[in-house]
Amino acid sequence: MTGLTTQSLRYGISAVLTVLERRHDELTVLDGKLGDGDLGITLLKAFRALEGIKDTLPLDLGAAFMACATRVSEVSSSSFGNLLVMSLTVASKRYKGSQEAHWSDMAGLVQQAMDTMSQRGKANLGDKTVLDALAGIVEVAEGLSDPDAILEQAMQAVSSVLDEFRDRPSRIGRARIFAERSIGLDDPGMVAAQIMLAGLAQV
Amino acid sequence: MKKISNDPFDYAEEALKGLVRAYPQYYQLVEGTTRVISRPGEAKPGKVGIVSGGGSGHLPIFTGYVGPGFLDAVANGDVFASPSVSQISTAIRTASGDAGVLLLYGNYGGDVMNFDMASDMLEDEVQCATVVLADDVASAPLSERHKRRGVAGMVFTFKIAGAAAEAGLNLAEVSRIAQKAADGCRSMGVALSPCMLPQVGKPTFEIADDEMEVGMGIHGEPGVARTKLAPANDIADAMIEPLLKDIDLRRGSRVALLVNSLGATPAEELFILYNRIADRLVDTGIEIAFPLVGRYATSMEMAGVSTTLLALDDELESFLTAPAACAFWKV
Repeated sequence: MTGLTTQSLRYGISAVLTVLERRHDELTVLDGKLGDGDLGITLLKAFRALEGIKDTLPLDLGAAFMACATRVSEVSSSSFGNLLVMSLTVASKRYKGSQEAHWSDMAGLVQQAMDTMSQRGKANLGDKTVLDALAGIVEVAEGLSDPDAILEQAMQAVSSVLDEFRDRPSRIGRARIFAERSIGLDDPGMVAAQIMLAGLAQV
Repeated sequence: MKKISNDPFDYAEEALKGLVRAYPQYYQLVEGTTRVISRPGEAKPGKVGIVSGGGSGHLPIFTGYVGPGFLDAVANGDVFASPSVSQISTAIRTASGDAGVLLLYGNYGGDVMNFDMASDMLEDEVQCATVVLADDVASAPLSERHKRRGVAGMVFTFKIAGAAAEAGLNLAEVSRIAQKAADGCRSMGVALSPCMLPQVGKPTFEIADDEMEVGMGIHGEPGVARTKLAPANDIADAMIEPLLKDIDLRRGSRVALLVNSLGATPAEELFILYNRIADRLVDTGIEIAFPLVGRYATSMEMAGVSTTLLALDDELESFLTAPAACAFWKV
């Protein structure tokens, strides 16, 4: 079985774009209740831009991820856009000079992206952000090497994290100001992760 | 409050466009952008590039200090908002003349994140070093200096780093000198009236006609005390005393002194304050080697003033007094 390659990246971009075209409104409505309401559009713009360059992505996985990071940074400077750029940059450095990454490395990749986002974005686990969803993914992906299994486990993990945090208040970002109002609402960043995973799984 | 603009959403870009048209000898818009300004022409091979950036609404900071002996390129965000990672990357590439680039910017969360991301992404392309500017003593105690914000004192580091780069020093040396300038710099401000964000259309904070706020940040961040508007000498003392407590200046020390208008405060009032500040420095045996009075770092139409002290040694003084030019400051 092959690992993560530029070809998988191309597939992933199209799959995520397909689901975003259909569901970006959901994110925008949710984000509008707590933040500035641009999350759906931010992601849609980012993935439309990636779709536009995916065929020119180089086979070197590090260079391909860097091209993606650069392109996203050109079309989005919102906070979630920045998190996406950070993750893509982390992947770029991690896979610099190789054409293929083992699926068993996904847990490590997500962990490293999480650490960078946490450090740069000054958020911690438990603040009710996308970081909590990613932590859930790392936990279940550890030790797995089959991409379908990783995806399935990751989707379940994000669902449980959403359930776990729904009735807690947000502790960072604009939603923190409306902490009371955030109780009972899903964190838009976690839902974004859920939707993107659904896209990859094509469900 | 009143404000001059066409479309509030075009405020930042129209201002930059006019700046470049008025002074093409100092500024050009980098091709394909509306927010990145550089010196005209190509980056000079072998010279360390100096890049800054931050929100609009503070002219001459940041982009006004592009010029020979100052900065090479600046990424400009919306009013009081960080420039994007992409704009910062463009500024870095534009300023890069193969000797590396020094990033100099104020200590604000969004700017730190975006500059770090940009230099991270360009790691294989351009060697970057960073000196974060954090001169505002009101924003955190000395024990938490890393939390302090960057205000008017940033201009001294722009000048000194720019001169060191112009002199042909390498990236490590330019960074060391810039860091020394940043470390020796302290500022303290007093705000009398707010400014208005063009896209919001309301004052950034409320303050009564007979009040002032000591230590307020340049975006209206809360200060250390709100009091009745005091006589000029008391306002001067409210700025200079905390600075003298915060920085270790022995008798015989030489300093650069900036008495800066936040925008609306006139030169006359700056000079009235200058008298008292100069008296206080003379009393403590400190020599003003380099005075600067005027509008060097603003918050649009905010009324108020800030005072900056920079402790000088021979090295810093030689770079501070080296020739340099931009539309707002010539040495």
